[in-house]
Amino acid sequence: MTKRVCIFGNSHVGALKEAWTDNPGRWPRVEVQFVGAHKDLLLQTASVDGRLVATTEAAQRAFRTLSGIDEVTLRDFDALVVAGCLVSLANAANTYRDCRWIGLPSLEAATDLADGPERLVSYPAARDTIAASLTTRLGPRFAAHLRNGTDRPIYLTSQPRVSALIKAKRRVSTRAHHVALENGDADGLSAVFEDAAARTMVEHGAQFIPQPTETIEDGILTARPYMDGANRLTAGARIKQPSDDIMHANARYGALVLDQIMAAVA
Amino acid sequence: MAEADRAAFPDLYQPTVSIRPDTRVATAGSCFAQHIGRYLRDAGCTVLDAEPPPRSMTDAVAKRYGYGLFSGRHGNVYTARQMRQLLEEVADGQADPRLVWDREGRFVDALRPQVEPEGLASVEEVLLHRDYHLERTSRMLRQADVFVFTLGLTEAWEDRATGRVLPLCPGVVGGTFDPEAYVFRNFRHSEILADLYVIKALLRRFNPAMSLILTVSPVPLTATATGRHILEATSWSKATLRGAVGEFVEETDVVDYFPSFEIVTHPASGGPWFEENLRSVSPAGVDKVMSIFLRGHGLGIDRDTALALPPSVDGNEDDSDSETDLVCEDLLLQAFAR
Repeated sequence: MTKRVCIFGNSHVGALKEAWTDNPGRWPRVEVQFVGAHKDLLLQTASVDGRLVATTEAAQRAFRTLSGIDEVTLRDFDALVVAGCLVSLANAANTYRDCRWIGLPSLEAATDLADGPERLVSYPAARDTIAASLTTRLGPRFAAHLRNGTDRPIYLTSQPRVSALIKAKRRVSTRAHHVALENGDADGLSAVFEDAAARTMVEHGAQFIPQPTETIEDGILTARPYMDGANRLTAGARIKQPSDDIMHANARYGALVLDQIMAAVA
Repeated sequence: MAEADRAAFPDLYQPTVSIRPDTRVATAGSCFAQHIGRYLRDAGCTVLDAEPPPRSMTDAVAKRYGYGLFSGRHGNVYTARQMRQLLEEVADGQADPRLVWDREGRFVDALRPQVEPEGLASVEEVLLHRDYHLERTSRMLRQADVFVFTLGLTEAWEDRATGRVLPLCPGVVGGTFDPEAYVFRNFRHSEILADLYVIKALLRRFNPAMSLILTVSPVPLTATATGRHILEATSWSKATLRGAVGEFVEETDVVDYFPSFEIVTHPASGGPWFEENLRSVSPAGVDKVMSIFLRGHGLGIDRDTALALPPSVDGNEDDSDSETDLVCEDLLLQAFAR
């Protein structure tokens, strides 16, 4: 029996859409509808009688231009998926900037915890801080928005970790990543993010699908073979992301995420 | 009295202890003490915080984990004895492993059982967090110019083995109530007075120039373990606290008394200043109390500035996608009401 899946997303849905196009036949007995919208346009919608309709011209334009649709009839699908939408490890890295918790190697090695500069917090406090941050992001907000209009299963796939490209050149925007890598705390940071994300999505009526293990490098990065050559989310033509883009994954990554989705909805 | 300025009570609070914006103030006490730190911050004063929350922690999470409520992350300190013992422990710097409670397979600090609502994974982790708390509190106290302590209760449960009084009855949020292990204490005037002298001496070990402001919480008891009616127990408790504090202030230099209890409870102050539950002080009541406190120190709140303060969560620099209610453990005391 054919399963019907609707995959929503911001720019990160591009990798999944491209993988779907590039791999005809890889996922038999599945029909997929992609609904992409940049920024927070997905929230500029409303559930009306089981349909998701755009409530602004910008959202309507995004639906038509990127997906060729006017609305989404939610009940037509067996499962709904939200891809990326800012559910990223960056939320955990932001918390890691000024606090540490038991289990991180750097904390175990510290001789005077009270001297800082990082603060000692409990693991639950760190996790809840990250979860509170995630709650404000597009993914959980949109999942909750969907949940109000459907009883279908909702999944949220992790936004990819930043590219391992950052190891070659430090960036201010990823300074906590660099510190975590140097401190040996990357695996702990990864674990608390996944824990926080999973809990957050349950609270928003959805299930979290973590980043495919084989794409992760050093705990908090995405290996370059899954990032290099990523394309933008566009209506048709394939336009490369800038060469210094560290956020968007490519179709090879997208295929692995589609594998996860298909396994979840099977 | 009826003809006095009952809105402002201009002569009611004339402190000898000075608080200016650059004065480093530390606060502790029962739940009402949380207002003092908050209003002083809003008035632009320097309120110390031994364990500030991570910058990315939201206010809601911070409150849940006991951050930012007092100058130390110790939760509510209800009695003079609890305050005294906390200062002794901070000075000593050694956490006692006997004061860790089991809570359904997790572990909590019996001396601040609310600051980790899920508990921690092991006794060792609780002790590590407590050692950190003690050291951070010690460093904070060394910086404090003024210590504001709000006394809330005379009743407490004491751990027989260690002699430590606990903020909550064992069994409420951790541990198991065992009458062989814990003894009920209702501190007498003389005991409170003696504790206040020790508190002052201990504070001055951290900073010899530290001044002390005492106040008595106007919040009535919700439960008593004395066996008396709650009305009588509240009066007994507040009268004892008020008497001991009054005598201490009379006989001691560089200590002031701020009459928050009187402002809220005296018939001449207007009101009623309590919420419908007849227990929580209403926002208007708190505002009245704190405006008198601030005015006494020549301070005030610029409401526009206070409202314009940025949220505690700062910009998410690592976001690579860049695009009044208080925590009051008193409520839990109902669990051991007789």
